[in-house]
Amino acid sequence: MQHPDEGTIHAWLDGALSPEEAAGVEAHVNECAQCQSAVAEARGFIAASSRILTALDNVPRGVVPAAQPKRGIAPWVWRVAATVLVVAAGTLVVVRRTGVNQSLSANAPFRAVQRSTDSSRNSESAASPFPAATAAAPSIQRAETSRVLHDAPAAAPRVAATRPADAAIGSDLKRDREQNQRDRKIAGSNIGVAERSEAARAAAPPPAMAPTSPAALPQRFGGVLGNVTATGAASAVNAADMAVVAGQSGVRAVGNRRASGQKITLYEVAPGDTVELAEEETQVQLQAAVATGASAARRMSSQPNMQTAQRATGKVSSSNADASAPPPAPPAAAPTPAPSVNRITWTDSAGRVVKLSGRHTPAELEQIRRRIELLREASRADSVKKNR
Amino acid sequence: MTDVERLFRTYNAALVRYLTRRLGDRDWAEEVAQETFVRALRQTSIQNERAWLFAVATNLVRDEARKDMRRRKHLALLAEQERDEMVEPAETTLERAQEAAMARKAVDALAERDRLALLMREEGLDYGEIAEALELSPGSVGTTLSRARRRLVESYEALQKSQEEREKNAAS
Repeated sequence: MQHPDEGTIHAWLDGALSPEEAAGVEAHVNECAQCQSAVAEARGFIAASSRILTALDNVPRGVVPAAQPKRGIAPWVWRVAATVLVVAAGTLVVVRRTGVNQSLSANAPFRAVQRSTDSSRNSESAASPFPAATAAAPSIQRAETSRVLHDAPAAAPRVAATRPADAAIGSDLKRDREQNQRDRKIAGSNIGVAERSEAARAAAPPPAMAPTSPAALPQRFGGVLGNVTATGAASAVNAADMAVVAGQSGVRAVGNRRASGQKITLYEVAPGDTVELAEEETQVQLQAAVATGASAARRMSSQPNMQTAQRATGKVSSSNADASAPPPAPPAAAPTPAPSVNRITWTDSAGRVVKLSGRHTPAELEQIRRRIELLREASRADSVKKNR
Repeated sequence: MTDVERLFRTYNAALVRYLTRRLGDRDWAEEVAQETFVRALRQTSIQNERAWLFAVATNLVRDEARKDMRRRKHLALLAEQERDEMVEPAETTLERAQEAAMARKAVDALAERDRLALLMREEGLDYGEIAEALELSPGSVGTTLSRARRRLVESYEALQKSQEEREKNAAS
């Protein structure tokens, strides 16, 4: 018998051959080593293919649902997520701006008072704010301005003259300067024109400052200029400019708090010498509440600069001051014993009652009031200018 | 017990398994099997029940394929994706799932006639039944089956080898 072909061997192994055929194959395979290996191979294929086909039964019913989650995230999910992200980012921007707005609206009384001083300003202060926008002024000019301050004769009000420089102010100012730097960052990011308008402001120093500037200033600002110029043009602009502002008014806000219905600002009129300015607040809050659109935007952009102006005073002075003393401005050991607390009251143009109290004579308080108004006026002018 | 019930009880399991192996989809396989038994109802007489059932089921699959080749291809693609995704579920079933995927590929690589003959043989159909269902000459069934088995095993082993190489490359 010939060697059976592969099909016949499979048929034989499957029991598909007739008894005669099967007997013939069996007889041959028993004697044929080649066919024995072929049969062995065929057995292997039969068993293996059976096993392989059994693996096909491993098709669980839940294939489709189980595989569903691994299809990845559905496109609509991405769309929703993107929407949420955009809304969240937008909200963040709005909230941050609103936050600035709100925190600054707390200072709204300043502007109200400043507005009132517009009308009641006397001749010496009338000349100082709203400097012309001669934008291209070099910083040297500013330095000269400050030097004028430095050399200014001590023909200032008695209040300032009687209070020598106090080391306690140093740390206070330092703190303010740090705050100022932080604020400047915020202001700089929010209002791109801040630096430029500061330059413009510095270029037009108030001409009539000398008669009104307190004598304490030269000491405090004298050593500053070198430091300021070293810190670079931008901050030099700011510092020198602020020196002018402070030199004009001789006061600066060192803190504020809120009492019922009023805002109380602590002003330092001379090192260690402070007064309290109490302002009605209800109207201001209403103003803030209804302020929308352009006015809100203006406040948002203008207010940071005011803070900057106030704090820049501290920045200028700090390098000259000893930083060892703790911040709180009214030191226990005020150099000169002050008279008992007096208070003056007036109504600003917005119809709000403003009270100024301190250990000064009413006449001194009037002077201080004027200086505070001057400071605020300068800040406001600053703000207005930056707003343009 | 009616005739259809008897047919169903006798052949359903094998038919569904055959169709599942053939189609790679249990639900589809059951649908085709049910349709096959429905058609058996209409038959007045069936000579070889098993051969007839497998032949009809095979033709149903083939007819459906003819009717809508595109849809079938799509379904096959989906089924393949599902098989691939099936690999993931658990560590214990990973190996089995890989085996199933390779078996599927190896079976799909066979010629249609070889594949059907092999699947029918696995369900216990004898050479005569396979020849009848597939309209082959009885003498060629052995050759068909031997070719199908050899190719299936060789394809599977090739797939296994490349799989091992991939794993080796991934490990190194």
